[in-house]
Amino acid sequence: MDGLVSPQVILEKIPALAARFRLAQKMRQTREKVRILVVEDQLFSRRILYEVLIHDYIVDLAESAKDGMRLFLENAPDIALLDIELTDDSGHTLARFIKSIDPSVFVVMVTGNNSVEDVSMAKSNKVNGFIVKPYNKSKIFECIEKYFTLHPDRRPKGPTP
Amino acid sequence: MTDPVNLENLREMTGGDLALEKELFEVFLTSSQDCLNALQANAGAGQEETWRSQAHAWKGMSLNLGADELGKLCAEAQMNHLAPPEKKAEMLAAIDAAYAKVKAFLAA
Repeated sequence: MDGLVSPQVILEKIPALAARFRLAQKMRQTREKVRILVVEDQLFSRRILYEVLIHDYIVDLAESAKDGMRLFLENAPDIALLDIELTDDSGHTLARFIKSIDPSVFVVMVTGNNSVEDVSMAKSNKVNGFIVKPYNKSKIFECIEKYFTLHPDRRPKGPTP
Repeated sequence: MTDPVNLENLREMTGGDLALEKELFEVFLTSSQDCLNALQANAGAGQEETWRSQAHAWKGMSLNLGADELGKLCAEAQMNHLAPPEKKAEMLAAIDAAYAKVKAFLAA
């Protein structure tokens, strides 16, 4: 890991956090709604994502990689939308962190750059999707639809958003 | 002449909620002012990384709002973060002018 502490170190040294994560992980299947972690350092962009998602999903918001890591361990989200350029670390580092703890989490990288390096890094981290800013509803829901294709049991029973 | 902001995409995301839209404009303006101040304070030599990251942040916000011209100028500033201070002063003047148009549009 680059800036963040390694997942193994955290889970070994903080047993209470590990226990909480395992519990949240177990509760995933019983959640009424899919839980989405949004990590985006810009308040304006974070707020837009929240408004788009909150009607249909449980949304956790983080403005830094560190906050994102904490919320991930506390809530075991189903999906993580990670901005690549964060103030304290790279979204790629956070993606690696999440995937190393729980490869089943559907990780989507969000970027304003769309550089070859970012795409290649995202691929090597085995993330599940990529959204290039500006956001729009169809880009966001297209990614979430891919998640439901992989996890049809998690699809809400009512009409899809 | 085209508007400095195309709100079509934002309105699709807010579902036409005007109170929310107004709130988002305020967030955009406050955050933009922070970015402008940071760019002005970091246009000198040795501050290239701060300049780049602020231009990047402003670009993302502007594009998400629909302020494409401002977003384009911020993208240029991000890309040219190693430019000399004189060139950065020119970029800042163009960004400031584009931002003034966006502000006026949002206030109307």
